Amino acid sequence: MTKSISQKIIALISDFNIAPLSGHLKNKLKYPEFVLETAPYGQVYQSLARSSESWLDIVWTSPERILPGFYKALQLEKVKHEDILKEVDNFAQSLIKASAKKYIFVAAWYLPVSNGYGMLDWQDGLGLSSLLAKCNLRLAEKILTNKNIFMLPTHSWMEGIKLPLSKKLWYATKVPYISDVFESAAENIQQSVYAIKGKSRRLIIVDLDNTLWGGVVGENGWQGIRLGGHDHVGEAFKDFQLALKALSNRGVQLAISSKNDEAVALEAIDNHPEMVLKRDDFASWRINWNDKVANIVELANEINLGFESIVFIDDNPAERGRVSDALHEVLVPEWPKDPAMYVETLISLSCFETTSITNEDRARTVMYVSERNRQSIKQSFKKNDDWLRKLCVKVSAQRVNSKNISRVTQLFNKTNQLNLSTRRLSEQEIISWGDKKTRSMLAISVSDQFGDMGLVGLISVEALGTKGHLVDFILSCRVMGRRVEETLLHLAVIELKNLGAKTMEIVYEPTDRNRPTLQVLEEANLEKIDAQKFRVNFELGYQKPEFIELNFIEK
Amino acid sequence: MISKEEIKNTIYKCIKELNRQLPEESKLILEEATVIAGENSPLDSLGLATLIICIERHLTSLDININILDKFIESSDPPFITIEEMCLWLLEQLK
Repeated sequence: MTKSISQKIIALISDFNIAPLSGHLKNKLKYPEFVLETAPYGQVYQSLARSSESWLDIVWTSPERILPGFYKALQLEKVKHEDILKEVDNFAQSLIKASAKKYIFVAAWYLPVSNGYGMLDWQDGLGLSSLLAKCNLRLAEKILTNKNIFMLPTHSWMEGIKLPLSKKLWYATKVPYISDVFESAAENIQQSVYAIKGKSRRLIIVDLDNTLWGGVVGENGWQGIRLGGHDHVGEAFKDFQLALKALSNRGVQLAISSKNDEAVALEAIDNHPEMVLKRDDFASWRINWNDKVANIVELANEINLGFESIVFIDDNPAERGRVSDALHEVLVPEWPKDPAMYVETLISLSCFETTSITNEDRARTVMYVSERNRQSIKQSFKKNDDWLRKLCVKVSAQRVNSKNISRVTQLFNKTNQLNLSTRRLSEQEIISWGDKKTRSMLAISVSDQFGDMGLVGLISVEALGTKGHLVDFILSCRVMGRRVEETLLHLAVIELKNLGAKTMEIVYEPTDRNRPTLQVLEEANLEKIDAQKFRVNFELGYQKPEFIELNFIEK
Repeated sequence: MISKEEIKNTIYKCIKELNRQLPEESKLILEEATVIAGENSPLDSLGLATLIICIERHLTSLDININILDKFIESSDPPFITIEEMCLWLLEQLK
């Protein structure tokens, strides 16, 4: 198949006939940029070793075929588990070698049908269950230090499927699993691919009555809602809140859109003893009698996320229908009537995959709470600069390194509004770009008296002789309008001076979402060359606001 | 005794399952006249074997054990071409 420049090859590598997965993936990966190729089955090592143009390899092997020692163990022959772990190491080496310029998804090994040693099967050094767990753990330890490789949860693909393995299918076609398994795998792989592309869902907007708790708080008061306690319905709602809290702990934000009296609803959130989710767990809320579509639009604007990042959960089918009709990009899952099914339904969405979980992800909701506090004192200041002075904003710059590269990659791939060129780069591409001595890239963290906003921006510059260029100027919307923007431009000038440049040229590359970047540049006191080009002459200099403290962290 | 309607529903269930992994142009239409085997079938050998084994699996869950794949392979001419022919052939086999 001929590949156009923008297309990405996904190669399927397996020691069995993986055609059904290819079929399901083709139907699920709707982006035309993906081209699926299936390597000849049974040639796993050869396919991995072959120089390939693939963007992603999906490697799904069976332990008894890829590890000769495991095959013997499966026949209950006496084998040294240490020897099999050496085979795992060899396989890991091949994966690491192949991952230099591409992503690799490795399916964790799954135990084929076997009674093994029965009640002794978890005995160390003997049982197959124990051996398989060790093999998977060893593989994970070896390969997951490489940030291009991800290990997928094969066991979850089999869950809920009666008899996932089909011996008859295997004998006839060399396909070991029934179609449902491949469909489930394709779903998981699709979400993982979207995660790499920064397209995971990042905000869940929930209703309150009969969604977060049972009953109508406006009618029964917070004492009358069903939540926790010795009540099977109340327990189901509490478990649902715990599941949402768990997602929030891994960086998915929560917000509320509910038709209720705000004071009554917040009283329930603040006072009910079994409430798992408290005010501070929500990035924001709209509790009013307005149309929920309008509320969701407002929440998306306030939290600075696109509709494609949002999931809306509501027990009321009419509200779901309204939102789904008006906002096609918002994911509005069908919601069960029975609260006992809520957790299962939430988990089955599997649209919250991420390639990394940074400190910024975990602390995101805390940051929104701090932001509410900042905004609340803003009203007492007439001038914006007086408010900023009060905040005591500190900007810290640090070279891009192994500790901050995950977050830097996130910023490259997820920031839309304040992004000069909107280059989407992988971790590997970022590292390669920075290899030249004429280039420099700085990661920017911001904090103030209300808290640490974390690593929120980056700049990269390149000097071509005395001409300097601002290549990337990326800043999270959460610090927009704090004059951090000018501080970043000041930093870029310092970096370029160190690289020998005498001017800095800034070229704005428009996308459908980065208009705010142009506005920042127009208001930043730069020399304007044309509608999208700006310049700083270093003889004139470029100063940061005097009330912003700037630190350079060397390590 | 299983009815023709029950057999047809079982076949349709498996076709729906198979269709999810087929490209748009090869998806089978849920009609009795749809060709599933032979030269004019959009299914390749893997697709046909997957469909037959799926039908066997679903029939087993109805306590009906039949080895369709072997009988299909052993026949010199395909014993069925369309969905309806498969229904009738299965009814005959299960008598």
